[in-house]
Amino acid sequence: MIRVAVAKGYLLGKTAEIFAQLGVQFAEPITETRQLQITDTSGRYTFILVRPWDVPVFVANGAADIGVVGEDVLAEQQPNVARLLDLRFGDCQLVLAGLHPSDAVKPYSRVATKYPRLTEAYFQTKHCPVSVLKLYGSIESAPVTGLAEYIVDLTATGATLKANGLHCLDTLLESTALLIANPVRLRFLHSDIDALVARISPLL
Amino acid sequence: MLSGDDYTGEGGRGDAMITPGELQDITPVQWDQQQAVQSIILDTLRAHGYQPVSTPLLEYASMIVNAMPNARNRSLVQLVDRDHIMVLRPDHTVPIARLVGMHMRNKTGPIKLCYVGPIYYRDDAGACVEQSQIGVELIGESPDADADVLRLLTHVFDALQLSDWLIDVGHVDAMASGLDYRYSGIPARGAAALTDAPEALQSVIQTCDHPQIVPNRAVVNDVTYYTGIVFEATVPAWGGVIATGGRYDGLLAQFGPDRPAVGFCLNMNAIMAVLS
Repeated sequence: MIRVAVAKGYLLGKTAEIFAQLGVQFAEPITETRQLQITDTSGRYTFILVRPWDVPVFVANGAADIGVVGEDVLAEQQPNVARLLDLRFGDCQLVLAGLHPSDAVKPYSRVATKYPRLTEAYFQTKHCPVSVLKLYGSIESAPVTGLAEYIVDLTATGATLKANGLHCLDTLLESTALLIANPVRLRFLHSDIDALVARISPLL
Repeated sequence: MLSGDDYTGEGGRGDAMITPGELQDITPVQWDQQQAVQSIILDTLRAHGYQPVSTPLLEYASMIVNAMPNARNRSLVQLVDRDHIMVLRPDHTVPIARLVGMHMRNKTGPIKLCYVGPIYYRDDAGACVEQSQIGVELIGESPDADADVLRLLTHVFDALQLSDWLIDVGHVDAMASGLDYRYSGIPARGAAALTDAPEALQSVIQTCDHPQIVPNRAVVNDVTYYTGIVFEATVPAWGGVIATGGRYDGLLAQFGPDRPAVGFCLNMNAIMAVLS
């Protein structure tokens, strides 16, 4: 049995599609279930449905053997997990955005973000001191409400940025979904996980 | 003079009821449990001829950093004492290499030492962590030394009645760098990992000849003083490593006569969690 941590939502749907192509089926549609753990009909896989930011926590601590998570989350958390495969879906960018296009960030500005570690690292390489404000959601409302002059946030299409009058100023990171594993569980399940990766790769 | 009233922040009376960082008290019940396990392990090590030694909790930062260059900044717990920068020891192996260089310089034949005590480091969030460790160092020329310490580790597991352990063994000259396997594939484990592997790895696997001692190219250890085999012991119920070890020829020469050496240490925090 392999335990797979996946975030509910878009990544779960795409992950379930890939596993369906491998013949992994569930008694009820996995994207609609209210259960938080659901085992496939063959009993080989249990999906553990969690919040996106919790996927690396489940995997790094061995509560899940493998997981599917965005590279953005891995880059921010830097968890002790093995990166097995780029799944090539869930494309998005981590961008710096502000109210004015072609704006150079002024020193000592405030930057609101869900990604404080990546944001601080980015501004350090730019030699630009800023104060970083950690938010848990609705990052786009920070500039218009006056909370911060800039934001660093994830965007797939740019639509939410545009709707909030924001302009993309720079890209910090291109992200896709990755298959990750707990390095210790990878030892106990080496041949199973190796075979799973070999079967998934040609489907991407 | 400062009195307690002068401190209102960290360490002041406002924090009287918490311990710093991730440091924790040990209550009588926990102490008894930990001592019981510790004596089983120590008895096993002593029965195999390993003699206990102890080194100071504080060492000069320069000594530690010279021996473990990657320990700098990130993970050391430092303090200033008069005109010296000191660190809480992050490891037992380096201080014991110093001890051997200072006090056992002229001893001939293999030196078998064991130790028990805490080490300190900072976690990713910067909090100070204490980890209780028990381990051995086998110093000096000794045939099959690598296999001997691996077998000793299995004797410790036997004594603890742990049966479902795995020891994955790699070699510094044949290991994956880091944990990103996206482009290289998952590193080989088992017989496949022995293809073109260094002689020392081939021979230790052959000598031990144990189904739970498995060659693995994914054994990664960021300890810079390792020069030969490196190994990590795990159990399925625990997502982390319960014991680590390896060969570190060259470290002793920093403190005295150049002698080969190999050792392991058990993470007692993990062992206690696994046994409970």
